[in-house]
Amino acid sequence: MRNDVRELRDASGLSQAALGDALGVSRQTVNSIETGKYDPSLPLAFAIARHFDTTIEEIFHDQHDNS
Amino acid sequence: MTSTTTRNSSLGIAIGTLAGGITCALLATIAWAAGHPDFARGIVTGGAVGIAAAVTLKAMSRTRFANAEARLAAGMADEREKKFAVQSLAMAAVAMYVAAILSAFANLFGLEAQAGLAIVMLTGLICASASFAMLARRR
Repeated sequence: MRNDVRELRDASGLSQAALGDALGVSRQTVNSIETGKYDPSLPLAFAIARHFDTTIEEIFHDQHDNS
Repeated sequence: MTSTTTRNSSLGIAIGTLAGGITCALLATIAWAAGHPDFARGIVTGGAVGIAAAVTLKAMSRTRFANAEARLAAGMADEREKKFAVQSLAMAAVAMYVAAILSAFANLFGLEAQAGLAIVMLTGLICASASFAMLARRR
C-alpha cells in the first residue's frame, strides 16, 4: 500500500522519532510505514490521519489505484 | 522520564529478578533432590543467563538506544513489534515440532530423552530469537 506519510511528516517538520512519540510507536515503525514495508492497523492509520488533520483515504492509497 | 517512572522501573526489574531467581533456585533444588546434579547446574546457569539478558533488555528499553528486543522484553512493544513476536513464536512452534519428531527418531538410535528435550527447547529459543531479530530489521 502506498502512502504519503513521509511527505506529510516532512511538511510538518517532524522527525521520524518525534512522529513515533506522538503516535505511540517506535521510530523504526514509522520508517517501515513510510517505506511501505509495513501496513499499519486501522486504529494506527486513524491516529496518523488525525495527527495530520486529514483522512485515511488522503494518506493511504491502493497499489492498483492511480489516484 | 520522571523519578517516579524510574523508581517503578527499577522496582519492576528488582521484583522480576527476585522472582526469576527464586523460581530457578526452586527448580534446581527439585532437580538436585531427584538425583540430577548436572540438570540442576544447567538450570542455575541457564536461569542466570536468562535473568541477566532480561534485566539488560529491560534497562535498555528506557534509553534512546532501545531496540525492538528491549521494548518487547519491557512490555513496551508497539503493534508492529508485537506482530513480529507472534510470527516468530509461530515459526518457533513449527521448528520445535520438527525437532521433536527428529528427536523421537534419534531416540530410537540411542539419543537420550533429556538430550532430545534440550534439543527441542534450544531449537525453539534460537528460532524465536533469530526470526524476531530478522523480522524486526528487515520489515
